[in-house]
Amino acid sequence: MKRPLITALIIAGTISLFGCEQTEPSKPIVVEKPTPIVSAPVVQTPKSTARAGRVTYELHCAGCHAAGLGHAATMKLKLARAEDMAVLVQRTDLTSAYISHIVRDGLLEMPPFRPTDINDEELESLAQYMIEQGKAYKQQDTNNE
Amino acid sequence: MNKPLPQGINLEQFNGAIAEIIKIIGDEFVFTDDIKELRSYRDPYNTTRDEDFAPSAAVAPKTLEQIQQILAVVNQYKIPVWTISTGKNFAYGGAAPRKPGYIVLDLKRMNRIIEVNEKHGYAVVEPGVSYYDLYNYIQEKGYKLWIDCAAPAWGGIVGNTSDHGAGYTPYGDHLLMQCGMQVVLADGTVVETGVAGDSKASSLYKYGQGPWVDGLFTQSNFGVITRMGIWLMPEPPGYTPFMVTLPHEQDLELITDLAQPLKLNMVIPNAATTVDLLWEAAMSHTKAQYYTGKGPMPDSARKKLGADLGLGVWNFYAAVYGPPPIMKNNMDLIRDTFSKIPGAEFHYDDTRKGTPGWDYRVELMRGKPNMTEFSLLNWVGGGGHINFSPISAVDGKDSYRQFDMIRKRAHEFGFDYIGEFLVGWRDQHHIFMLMFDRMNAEEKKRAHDLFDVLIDDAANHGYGEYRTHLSFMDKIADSYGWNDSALLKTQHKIKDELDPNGILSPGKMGIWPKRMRDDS
Repeated sequence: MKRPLITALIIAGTISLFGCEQTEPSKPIVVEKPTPIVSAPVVQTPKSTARAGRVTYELHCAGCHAAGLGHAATMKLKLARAEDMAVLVQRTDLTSAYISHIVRDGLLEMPPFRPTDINDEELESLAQYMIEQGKAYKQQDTNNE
Repeated sequence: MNKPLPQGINLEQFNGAIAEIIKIIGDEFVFTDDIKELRSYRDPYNTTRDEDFAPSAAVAPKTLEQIQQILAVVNQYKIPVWTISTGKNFAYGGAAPRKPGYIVLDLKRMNRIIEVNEKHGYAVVEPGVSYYDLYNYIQEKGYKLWIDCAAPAWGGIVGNTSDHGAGYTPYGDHLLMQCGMQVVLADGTVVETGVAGDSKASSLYKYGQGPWVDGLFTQSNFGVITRMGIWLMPEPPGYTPFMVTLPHEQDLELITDLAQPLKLNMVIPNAATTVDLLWEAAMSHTKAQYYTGKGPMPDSARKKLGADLGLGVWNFYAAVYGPPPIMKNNMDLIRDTFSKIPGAEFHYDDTRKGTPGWDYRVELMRGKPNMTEFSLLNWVGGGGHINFSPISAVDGKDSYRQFDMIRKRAHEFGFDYIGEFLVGWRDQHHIFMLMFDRMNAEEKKRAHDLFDVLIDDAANHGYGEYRTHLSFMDKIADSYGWNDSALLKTQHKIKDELDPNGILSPGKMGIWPKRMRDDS
């Protein structure tokens, strides 16, 4: 169990949780029956195991945040902040906590991402990937100077 | 904010239901924390208050059996669930439910690509499969097939198709290309449509026998779609995208009337678009770069913008496909036709490549997913947007009348007209993208009021919308009120029969279960 059920933001007074008599589960109305068998072979079965940070970045972030034209967030950050703030994976000022907060909460134009889009484990890997990419970019940039 | 709960359900009952659902799918996939988890299930871009569409929980099953078991629980408690697929239905409500307190039934984890058949050109997918997922899979396997994706393309096949969404290739009418589905009814019964059993034609022939019911499960709340067949276009031997820029506002009439026979006769096979200047400009620029005053951008700034970016007041995009001789024949005909418009200019890859507005259309018209269209959210900043989406005939006067009706009202309320006509085979989806700063309460309210008036205006002119935001589903359903709302009454009869406890997405497109009809 990752956390207790709702206890803090309750609108009623003291209420016990699901152990009480009134909520004793009654019989489901759906009668048990065989489930249809999938007729076609499953050709892709990604388990819900965590994706690598890079994969998550490419699937969920790069569309708006990659370098170059045609990427909405890159364009906006360049205008609103600065050229060197435009591409997230070229920055060294981002922290894991900040990335996680923005991904879950959204920011201005950016919508939040659901835990089913990116789970907590993937979010941590994503943040690490982005931070590492930023460091590597900076290093390369410094070497080139 | 208090914990949102379903109507008529107390916290004890709610927790009872949640505890049972946890037993079915595990704690990891039951989300109840309003701050840490459920903010991502609200609609960030709505025109009212966040809490108007705040769910009480979200639950994410992985299998059909888990859905059946969850439905059994919520039937018992009479708790509404709001089904989403990939949850990216932005401009229409995103992942958020119609009313606060519903439990979101999030099918994102059901993300199997069941089959891709290269020979016959189709895929069978679960609701969680996004356009990116299917595209990447086809690329990885090397299949010579194209997908047809929405823009932006992070949405998914099942969600977009069942919301009557559209794309930009010759397969742009998504529901037309849907073939066979698996649906779980409210009582747990699993229904499969199309040709019965293991027939090789189950994803090839849509109609099976008897009434074709697939449409009943789209834009509706009569069942939970758990699998869908979708036809895929074979990769053609050639592809020539083009754009025609048009210098005058009235050219909308001309281009529409000239495009109509080309579309109807499939000389232009794909879902073409007639896109206004600001939509195009927003792919690379923001409003503030050209105008920092209040209200809609004045003509002087628009002219400079168009001249700087080499864009027309309207910009028509389409493509031809096939072996080079066919493309040449069709392009000759298209060029001859549109060249009749004074000032019309043709543009191709050789001069436009590298321009974001061009590049993303070129990708979309060959089914390559991208996110460039999200740049629209930068136009005024703050990201708020809802789409007003009336259908029009592919008819010049009708298009112009609709555009003029919306533009006048938008300007009256202080907003830009930013729009496009998606030219289908016989109809046009006219999308007015109403952009506002979501952090500005006054602007949000003004956008809401404008939308409300537009529905009335459209109804008075005899136009109906094809899809809408949560806030306006009831009003738009009412606008389809011919013959004492016979259509909605029929939908309600079906609803009551299939979902007597009213647990599935109450209020979707104005369809409410009996127990919620009075206070909806």
